[in-house]
Amino acid sequence: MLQSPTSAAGAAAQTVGLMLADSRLPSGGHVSSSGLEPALMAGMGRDQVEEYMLVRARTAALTDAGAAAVIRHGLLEAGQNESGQSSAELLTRTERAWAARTPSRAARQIASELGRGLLRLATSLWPDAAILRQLGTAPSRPVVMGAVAAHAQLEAEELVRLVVYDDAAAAAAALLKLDPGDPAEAMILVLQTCASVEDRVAGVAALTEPSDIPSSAAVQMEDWIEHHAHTTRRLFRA
Amino acid sequence: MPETATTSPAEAAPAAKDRALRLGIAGPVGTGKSSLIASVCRALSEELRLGVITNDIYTDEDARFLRSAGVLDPERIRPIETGACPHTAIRDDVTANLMAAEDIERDFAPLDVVLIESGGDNLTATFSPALVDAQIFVLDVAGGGDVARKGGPGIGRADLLVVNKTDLAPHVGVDVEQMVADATEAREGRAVLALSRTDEGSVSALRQWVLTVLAAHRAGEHIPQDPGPMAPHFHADEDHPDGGYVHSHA
Ligand SMILES: Nc1nc2c(ncn2[C@@H]2O[C@H](COP(=O)(O)OP(=O)(O)OP(=O)(O)O)[C@@H](O)[C@H]2O)c(=O)[nH]1
Ligand SMILES: [Mg+2]
Repeated sequence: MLQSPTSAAGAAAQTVGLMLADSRLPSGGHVSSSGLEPALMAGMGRDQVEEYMLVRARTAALTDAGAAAVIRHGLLEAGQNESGQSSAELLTRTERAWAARTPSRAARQIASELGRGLLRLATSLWPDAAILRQLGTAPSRPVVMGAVAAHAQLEAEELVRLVVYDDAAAAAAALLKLDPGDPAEAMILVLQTCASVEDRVAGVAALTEPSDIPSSAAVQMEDWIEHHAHTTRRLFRA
Repeated sequence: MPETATTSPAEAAPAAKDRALRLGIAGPVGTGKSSLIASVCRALSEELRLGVITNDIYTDEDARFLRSAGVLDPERIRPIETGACPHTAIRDDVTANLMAAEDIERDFAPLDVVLIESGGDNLTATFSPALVDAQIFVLDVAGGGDVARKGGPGIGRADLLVVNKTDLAPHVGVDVEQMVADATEAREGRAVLALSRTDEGSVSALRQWVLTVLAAHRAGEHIPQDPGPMAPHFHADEDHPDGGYVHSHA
């Protein structure tokens, strides 16, 4: 058994970003397929996976990325002004704005469980991080991503790419479990998906207002996730 | 959306000995893990405050089975869905299980023991010591008399090895005594218990084992052990001059 390490301080921002993007990150994330299993189980064809991932990126993933960016910006600002009050308000408003853009209760539930898992890990890594202690009990995952980015000094654009990548990579990994094919193809899908929203990265990264978080929702996708929550014989929670 | 109220994870966790004993139950599919938990609940729910967490790949079937067994307040039995990675959820990424353990311990504080059933995966799945304080590995006689001898991390080094369903032994041509002797040898003397839910004496031995581990846990004398990810092997070790020292690489 190794000695308990004492501090995670001093990691470069990019290193933290890499860690967050790593599917091996022990924060409970392996139960998500980014909605792909719900889609396949609902009868979406294998030949539509590519399209699915592209739609997912510019809807749910950008909504998540926008919420994360707003949180990052707001918490960094509040840190400079020492305004604890306003950051609490920002957190609430952002959670609400994100929830309003994520109509499926099941999708929100899983995001909140994943957020809690990530926050648990983050507070163990950085027990003294004031930013993380403001987050309350079960913030959704994008909110925690934004807060970790603020704490680790991750750039806004890096954060947006990270959220989009994380979502796509989870879908690709799930695809390899659910309907295995050439693994290289799955990775091509990930890169292609990320590239497809590259022209949106700067704009989403610059967001500061919860009301400006992208609000394109893929209603069919949310409906599949909602339905999936009530099925059995599934390998993923969502 | 915070749909469930939870304590801030920043709050310092109590020392292990001051919280419930977390007891893992692992073993191959169908060997009787849920039934063993039901037996423990039946035998101890009068004197101990218990909670149960089940890990299922697909559904909440184990939790439903235990709830319907009526051995514990259904609220105290909580399912976790491990998805495609039941192994991961009890070993390399225990996040969901730890959160569930913390939740149930808080919601029904104080609890004495939280029993955690693994999602029956395979012969090699064992719990991380970061999740459970002690673990029981369950085999059954129907799996054949040779299984115990063949070994594996759970069989070799779980805190207790249960050879279950001994009532079936005559029907499957297994010599229970031999199986227990083989297991004891494979385990280098660690505890082995021949169990059948229909044999009261064996259930009370199980009850006694749980109470003994709980007492050691409370006294701060019980140190969680990792059965290891793979078969044991020996290293010459200066700290253990009288022979090799069994360990596994975590
Ligand atoms: N004869 C006999 N059958 C038992 C005993 N214990 C359990 N069983 C039976 O074995 C079967 C499996 O029992 P469970 O307790 O569901 O086993 P499990 O290990 O929890 O199964 P999974 O969670 O599916 O891996 C059931 O049909 C039980 O009734 C026993 O002591 N004797
Ligand atoms: Mg079971």
